[in-house]
Amino acid sequence: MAGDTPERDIPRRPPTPRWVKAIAIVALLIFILVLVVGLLGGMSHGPGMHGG
Amino acid sequence: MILHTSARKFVLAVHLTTSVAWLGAVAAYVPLDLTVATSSDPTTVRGAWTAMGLIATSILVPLALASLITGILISVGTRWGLIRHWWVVVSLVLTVLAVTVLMVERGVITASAAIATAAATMPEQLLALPPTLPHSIGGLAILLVVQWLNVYKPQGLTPYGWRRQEEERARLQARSWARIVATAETDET
Repeated sequence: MAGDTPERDIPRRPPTPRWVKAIAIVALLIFILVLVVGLLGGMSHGPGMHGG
Repeated sequence: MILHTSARKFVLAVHLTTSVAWLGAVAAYVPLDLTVATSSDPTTVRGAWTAMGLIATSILVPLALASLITGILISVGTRWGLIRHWWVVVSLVLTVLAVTVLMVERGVITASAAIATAAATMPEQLLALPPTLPHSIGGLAILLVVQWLNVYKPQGLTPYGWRRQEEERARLQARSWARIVATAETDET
């Protein structure tokens, strides 16, 4: 129909950049690692840790 | 709210100064933390904790807060915006994370430094104080990533940024068309 914009002319939002996804994945892995270490070793830290 | 040129330059100068100084202060803190982790000399460890306590409270915290606040100001006050570009969003998230961890750790550091400097603390207790290495090295890594992002400014618009760009493009296009039509009508008459 007249006036319809062809699909190829409709601007499409570019995808999320790869570097953003890479940083998000690294951050998630570090978070999981910290969680696992914290659960295995106990979450407390600071001067009281060694009963000092 | 676009900042005037002189105001923008001032805020940018403060932001650059405090951000780089924060990075430098953390870089100075890390060897002290390593000393606490590896040294078996109580006098050395006591000195390291004293310095770490001073650096954390007098330098790291003020610089971190100033860097975060001026970073937000410079984003909001320029066309970069706070949530239009991925490099700004990721920098903001990482900076907020670093500041939050620092504010929590400050209590731990000052408590350990107080114990270390107390005359009644025995050498065994002093050497048993746990270092803050994961936080200091992690913080240094985060700040290096933020600095890399701020220098290279990798491309990428957020969904909000892309929508704003399209709206501005449509607005400019409409204005151009209106000018062309007005010019054509003027020529006809």
